[in-house]
Amino acid sequence: MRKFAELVLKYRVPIIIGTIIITVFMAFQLRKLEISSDILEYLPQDDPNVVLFNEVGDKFGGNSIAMIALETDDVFNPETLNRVNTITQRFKEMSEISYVTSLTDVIDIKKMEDGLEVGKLFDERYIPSEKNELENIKNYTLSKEMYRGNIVSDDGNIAVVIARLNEDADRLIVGREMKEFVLSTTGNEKLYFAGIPFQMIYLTDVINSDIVKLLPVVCLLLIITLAISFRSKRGVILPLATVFISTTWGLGLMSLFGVKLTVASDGIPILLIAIGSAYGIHLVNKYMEDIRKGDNKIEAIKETISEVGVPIFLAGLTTSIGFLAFLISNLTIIKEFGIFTAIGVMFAYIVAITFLPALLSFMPAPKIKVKKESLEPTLMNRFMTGLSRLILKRKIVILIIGFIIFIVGTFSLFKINREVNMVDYFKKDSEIRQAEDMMESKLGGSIPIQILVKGDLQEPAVLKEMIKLEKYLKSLPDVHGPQSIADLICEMNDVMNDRYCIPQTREGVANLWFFLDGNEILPQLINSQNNEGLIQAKLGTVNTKKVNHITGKIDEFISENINSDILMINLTEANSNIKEIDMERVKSISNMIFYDAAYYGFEIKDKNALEKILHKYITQENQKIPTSNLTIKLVNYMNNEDGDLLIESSSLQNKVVKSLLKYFEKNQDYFEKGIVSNLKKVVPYSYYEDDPEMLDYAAMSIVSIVESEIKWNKTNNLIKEITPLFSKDIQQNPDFKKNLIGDVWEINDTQIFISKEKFKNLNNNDQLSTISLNLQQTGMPIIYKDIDNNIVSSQTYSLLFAIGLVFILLAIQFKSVIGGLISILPIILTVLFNFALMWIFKIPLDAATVMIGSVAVGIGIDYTIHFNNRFHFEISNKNSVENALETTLQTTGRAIIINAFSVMLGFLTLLLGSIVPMQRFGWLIALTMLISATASITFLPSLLLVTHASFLGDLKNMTLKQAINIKANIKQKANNIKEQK
Amino acid sequence: MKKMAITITMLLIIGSIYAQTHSAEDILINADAVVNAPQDQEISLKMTLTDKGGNEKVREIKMYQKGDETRLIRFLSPADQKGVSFLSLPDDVQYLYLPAFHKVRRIASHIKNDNFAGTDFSYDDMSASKYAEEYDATLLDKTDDLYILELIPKQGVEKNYSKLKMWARQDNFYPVKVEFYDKNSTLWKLFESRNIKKNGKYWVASEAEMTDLKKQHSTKMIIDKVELDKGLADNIFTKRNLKRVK
Repeated sequence: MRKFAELVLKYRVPIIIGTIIITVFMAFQLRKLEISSDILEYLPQDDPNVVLFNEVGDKFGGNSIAMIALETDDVFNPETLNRVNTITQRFKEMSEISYVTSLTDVIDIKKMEDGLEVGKLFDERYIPSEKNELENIKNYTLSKEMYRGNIVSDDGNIAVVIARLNEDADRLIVGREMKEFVLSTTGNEKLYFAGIPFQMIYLTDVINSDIVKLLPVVCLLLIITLAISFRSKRGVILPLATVFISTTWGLGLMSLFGVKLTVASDGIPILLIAIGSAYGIHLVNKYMEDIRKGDNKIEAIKETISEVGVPIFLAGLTTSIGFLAFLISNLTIIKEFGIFTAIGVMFAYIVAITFLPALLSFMPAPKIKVKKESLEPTLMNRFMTGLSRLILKRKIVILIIGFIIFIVGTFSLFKINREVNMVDYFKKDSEIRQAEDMMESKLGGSIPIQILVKGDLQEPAVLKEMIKLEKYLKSLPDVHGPQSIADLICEMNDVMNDRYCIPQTREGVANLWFFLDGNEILPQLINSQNNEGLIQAKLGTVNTKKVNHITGKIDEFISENINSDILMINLTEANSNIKEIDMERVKSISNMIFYDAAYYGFEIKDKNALEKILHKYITQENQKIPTSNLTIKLVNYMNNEDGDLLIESSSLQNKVVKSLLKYFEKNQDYFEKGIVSNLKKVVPYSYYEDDPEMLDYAAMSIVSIVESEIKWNKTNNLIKEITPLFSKDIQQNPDFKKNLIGDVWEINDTQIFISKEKFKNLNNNDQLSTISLNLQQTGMPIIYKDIDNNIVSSQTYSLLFAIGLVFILLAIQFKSVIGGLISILPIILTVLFNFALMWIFKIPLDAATVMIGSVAVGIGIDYTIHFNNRFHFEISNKNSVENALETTLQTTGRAIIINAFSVMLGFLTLLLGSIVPMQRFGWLIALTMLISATASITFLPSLLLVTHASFLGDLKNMTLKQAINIKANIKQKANNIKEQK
Repeated sequence: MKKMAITITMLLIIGSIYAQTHSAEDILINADAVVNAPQDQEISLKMTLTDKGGNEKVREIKMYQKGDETRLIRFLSPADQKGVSFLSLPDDVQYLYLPAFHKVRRIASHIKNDNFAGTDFSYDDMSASKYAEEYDATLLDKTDDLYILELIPKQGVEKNYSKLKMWARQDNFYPVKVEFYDKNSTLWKLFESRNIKKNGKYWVASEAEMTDLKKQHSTKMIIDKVELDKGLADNIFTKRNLKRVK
């Protein structure tokens, strides 16, 4: 090290110039440093969840949803609606936005008398202003589940404009443009901006303003600390310059590599200033000490470098290792944070050991002031003396306290909460947090769950499975408004045929599809080949625990309840399997009813009774013909001008009805030809002589009337029978009734979809073709879950890795495994104490707090090294352990305390910032530093004394060694004198 | 009598081409007239929808039309939509028949800009060619054989387009190309008529294509068979007939 010191002094001019050039260059790079607020960038881009998420975004018009909410007493007033319309129209014109939904631009499927309307809720070109008209639209809109809680709040006070941003759109730029436009529209409504793009904007702004706000404070604090500690200009300027230079280098390098500043790495400048100052402090401290001892300037520098160079290097190295341990994390932002902080720390070391002494060599030696301490011990001196006595007396007690902390910490490891949601980064009173909270409480949240469906989307089997999943989703707490092509088909079926379910035939689906084809809602629900679709639902919670629970439940449901290979079988061909198939059908229908009941707040008193009734209807052989209803329907048909069989005479009508009823009674298997010949018997020839095909068409219509009557009769009877099983009157809730009818309508199905897996024997010779279906969950919640998992593994592995590496390093330095172990123990104690604090104060593990453990290892180990080093040195020089301990505490102990406080103050400035995880990180790590310092001056010496620390020398038997040391010292001094000559 | 009158008008119009240069308004009236000229039409056509990925969907359609506002459309393919029929009567009265449910339903669509059955034609585009009633025309240019008109919606007429540009033949006024511009005056849709030939006394384009440039989606219609002035009976255009699909 001495040679190195000489080199530094020899090349001091190039060192100073070189450092300045590099610093200026890096400072220029800083301007290009970008901020990233995309939570997706936390994860490696080849993570399967990220790949799927991006794939879905690509296919369905983007993943980022921006929501603008307008709040007023009642949004159904012309001013608000026009404002919504203006915003909607403007968004539609923006090419970066793929889709916009709002009250004034939303698909509307409306039932009318004898018809239907597929259109929009409002005509964008005509927003009504009349009160009655608005009142009607309000009642209609709020009665529909499709709208309520989606584009308008249940109470009609909030209207929402939902915009989907293209996958390749720059969300920050587009989001700002959107916000700017919305703010430029006039109105009295309170505005909210929610969704990922606005969260990102807010986060970027906050990171920016935090850095600007915090840096000066940190610097000021550092200056004050340094000034108090050293009471000299160089004591302030030199460590300060060291951190400025190394921080500039570190961040400049980030910018050079195109790495962006994130929620994690925005702490780097603060961290580097707080940690990096230590090296300068130690160096200046030692230099002053040497000067006081009477060394001349150059000699003092050489002495300083050769004596503290190695421990500082070791401290820097171990700190860097603490941060480099994050390299094994899967989270990109933590990895980046680790690398660049580690590099920054090494820079601080290099600058401290080269630039700082070089600069020091040009400064005049400080005048040696008469030490105040020697005359009148300072508070610190007295404290340290007392401490050393305490340790000597109560070392066992200290160890026991440490042991207790060890136990509590280990226990708390399993109790810590986790939080990964971006919303949680913001303070409760921040604008974005309020918007998100409002969205969560009134509109089911802003974060979509997405399920990618791969399969033939015009296939009833596939759509039915989708509906099954959606009903399940709705039954989950915090999941709202699932939407997919399957819903629209059900909605169309309800409008067309009064039953909210998927038709059992492909033709049925295709017919209903006809209305939807070309509608602009489709591209966000299905791809153009109709073989991939999306189920979307909103998640009304940001709580990581709940998110994990729900996404887990959904995955579980998909793997256990969704058939991936489906067979379609005609009931008449089921033969020997019919019993099992019937049981399956009963189970499937009762499950759907169960989910619906759960969602609409109905309780099923007796599930067994429900299944029994369902079973009865499903296995019912004889289709009873509901005579009275059918008579009315047939008479209506004959009265209808547009029907084929227009008969005015009521007596002839009666004759036809009677004859037909008789025919149906006799023939269970009625068919069109039979009806035609029956009609021919009663309807005079004159009715159809001009139109020979008339009776054929009439027969077709009659068959469909009869079939429909039988099915409705059965369904209505079933509903009547199960009504008493519900805790509340089903008539009270039209939405539940609508769903219930759709559920039980399936008893009429004759084509049944069954799992290929369960009914292997049915398809022995592969005569039935398989309908395949694949469902995969994606969306932000899955990304959050992924991040959460990675945070946990990051924590565990990086911490173990850091501890392991530091242990090895220490064991090598002390040439003793026990030595390594003893040195690492205070660190482990600190880390565990930190976990205990997190548990006690309910601080969740997040992208920032996850780093505390490893940072604590990296920084805390410095104290141990400094302490051990000094203690070792003192033991080699003095005659008693007591003296060695006291001197170590008076010198290194003092430095440790000063350093810990300055680092603490640095970290505490993070409390002034606006990012919640950074705040938590700030005070927690500040506390951790305090504990670390305390542990190294109490627990560590106690441990050393109790174990007799043979790696530092034989503490029991000092005399012999002391003699050798004295000799060695004399020799050394002689050498020094020679050298000086 | 009516036929006579129209024929005479046509002759007069054609005669006058050589007699004078036309005002833009006249050209547009003539363009509408030549397209709407047949009394009734029975057309079999094949419709090809192409999306931006190049995926094609083919539909076969039979269309009966009487006058310019009464029309019955039947889908013959794809198989699962076979028999779906659409009846459109004057005054925006429309009925749809879905064979899978054996039901006729009246459809109202107050939204004229919705596309018809997955095509690139809006319901508005689908209705008869009545440009002269809804747009003011100015003559932009003349090529060797084409007039180029700019059409702006008349005051009080709400359209989705800010303007149209039409290329009409000088010899028979048949519009061969129409460009539709959106409210930001960017080109949105492009309509082209090809293969314009004389069928009896009428000019008929046997190929037409509408391209939505925003969606990068196109609809091409190729006429297989066209019969004009067959004297289609009124009872073809009834709800009763609508559901007569076997």
